[in-house]
Amino acid sequence: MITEKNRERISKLATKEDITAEDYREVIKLINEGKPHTAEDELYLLSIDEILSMQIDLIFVKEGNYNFLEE
Amino acid sequence: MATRQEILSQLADDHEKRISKVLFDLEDDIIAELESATRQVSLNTNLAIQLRPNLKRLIEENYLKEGTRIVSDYDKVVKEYQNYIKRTPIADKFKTLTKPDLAIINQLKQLSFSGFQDVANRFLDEISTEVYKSAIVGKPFPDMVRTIRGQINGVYQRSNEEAINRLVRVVEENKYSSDPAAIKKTQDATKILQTKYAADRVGNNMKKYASQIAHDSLMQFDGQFTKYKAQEAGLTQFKYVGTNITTTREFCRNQLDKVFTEEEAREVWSQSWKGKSGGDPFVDRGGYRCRHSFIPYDTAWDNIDAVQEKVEIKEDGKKRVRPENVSSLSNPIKENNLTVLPQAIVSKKIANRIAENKKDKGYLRDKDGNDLEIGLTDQVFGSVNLKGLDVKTISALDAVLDELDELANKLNVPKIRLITTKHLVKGKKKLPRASMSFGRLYLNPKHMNLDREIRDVDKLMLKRGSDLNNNAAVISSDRRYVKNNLPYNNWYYFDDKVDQFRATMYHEFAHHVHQSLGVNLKNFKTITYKGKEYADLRTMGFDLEKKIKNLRGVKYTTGNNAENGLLEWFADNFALYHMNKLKGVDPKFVEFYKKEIEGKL
Repeated sequence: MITEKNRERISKLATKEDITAEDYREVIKLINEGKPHTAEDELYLLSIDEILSMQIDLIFVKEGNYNFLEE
Repeated sequence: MATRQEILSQLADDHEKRISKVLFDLEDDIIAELESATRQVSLNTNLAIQLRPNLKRLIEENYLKEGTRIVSDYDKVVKEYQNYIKRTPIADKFKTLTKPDLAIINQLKQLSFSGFQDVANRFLDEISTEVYKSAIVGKPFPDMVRTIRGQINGVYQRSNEEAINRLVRVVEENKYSSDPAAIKKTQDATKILQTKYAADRVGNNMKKYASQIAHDSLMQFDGQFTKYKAQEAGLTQFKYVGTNITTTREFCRNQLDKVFTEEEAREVWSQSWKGKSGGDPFVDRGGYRCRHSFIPYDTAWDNIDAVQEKVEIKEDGKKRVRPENVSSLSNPIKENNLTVLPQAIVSKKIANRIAENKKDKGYLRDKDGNDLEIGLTDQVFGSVNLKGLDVKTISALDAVLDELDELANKLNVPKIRLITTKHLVKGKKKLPRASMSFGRLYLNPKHMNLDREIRDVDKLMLKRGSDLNNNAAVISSDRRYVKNNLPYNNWYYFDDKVDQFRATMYHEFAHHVHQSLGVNLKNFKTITYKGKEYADLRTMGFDLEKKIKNLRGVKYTTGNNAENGLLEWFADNFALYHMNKLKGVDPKFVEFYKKEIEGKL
């Protein structure tokens, strides 16, 4: 289960206007820490994944590569 | 313009009508011959044997002569095949007839004619035997005549009673009509005839078999020739076509308009059904007197109007109006009005739409005018991948895309230019319910298919949506309250499955709006990655996004926007606003939207 505190951190990082590859990595780390996920977590993560899908393009142009996805 | 199937049906009806007429003439000629032969001497066995060549001649002059004319009409079947195939995009060399084709056509015609000959021989035997037997037992002449008339025309035989002849004429004149009044006349007259003649009705008669042969020979010729030509052109798929009438077999009804490979057709045709005449789908089709046939087909031809003009038929014989779901912003379609469309047709329609949308001038182009990528994906703008979505959902998608195109026009943003069920970002594994990125729409079949399984957590959220609808919950600026009392996503506000789907689609389209409106398409930087140029989104100035993110004092409408920021708030409110679910809309959104978007159009 993802704790309330971690949910707040994930949301804050995932929605940052100037999101970085480091933020992305931290989001993934926090999501993984919350495993196994509850049904409510899954609902929440569907929205986070939607946001990350949009943010990835921004991280890419900042980093100049997609290496952060493979780590 | 008549379809190929309509012309085939008209030809089959015409042939049956001509055979019908000729059998009445034959009946009259045979009876006249018998009366003439027995005018001076009474019927005896020698006379009966002497009469056989005369009977044979009469059958040949009437029935077989017409049979010959009918078989030469099969050239019209060939011509109609060519009329159809020339409209398809196959190689020109397969659209014309070759010398071997002509030889095959002649062989098939001979085969068909032998069917007419079989009927003629069989009835010559039966009529001659009846004459001979009557001579032996001394059967009264009128009784023999009645039996022979029955052997030729059955219940429709000529009679001395004018009332009966009138009924026969009613049947003959109306039996091929599709007019309901004519059909009723035929049914009533047939019923009276059958009642009247029930006592001496001859079960098997020449008319019954000859009409069936006239019909089935034509359809079998068509099936054999079509299959032969398709094979020659390397076409491997066939569409089962024709109309549904009240007597259409359930088997045919279930197969109509379906496209099969030969192997698939043979597998389906291996089952049993009432009226089946054989197991070859191309020759036997639904069975005796079946009016359906196969045409070579490719689903890629679904949208070629010239091909469809020769394929599509409506129930009453007129051109079929291609089914579609009519939907608009002001009158959005609901689940109970949604027609599940043929997958090939609706998928093609969406593909054509997206290919067209790709050309929208509102999208980024490089200096050469080519589409400029904004992120790493192996999917191409203008493409559609709907794998995993069921056909009902694809039908709903098509309808909702009508609304989104309307919205795009209204808001002056480009239309969606890519739809995929494969993740947009190459290498990323986590999958959202849906996502949008600069006109690229991702849909997750697991969460978007209309008839997917609803989980317990979904039921809980639907209950919360219903609470808001029933005033038991309200939108609020208290994040904790919203998370505990309102649905997590906006689709839970709706009961109707198409509305639920629409809510997510509108939410994603809202992201498209803030990603597109006011974006600088001319003065931005690019970066190069692995030799390819990409737009640097950070230099494009997303003014609308900035304004949304700077809003203060908003109320949250879903758990998602309470937790995940103002772009989600904008997207949820946008969907609820355009779906007229105003109880779920933050008044602050309406104010902002009217000022910054609608007010600037």
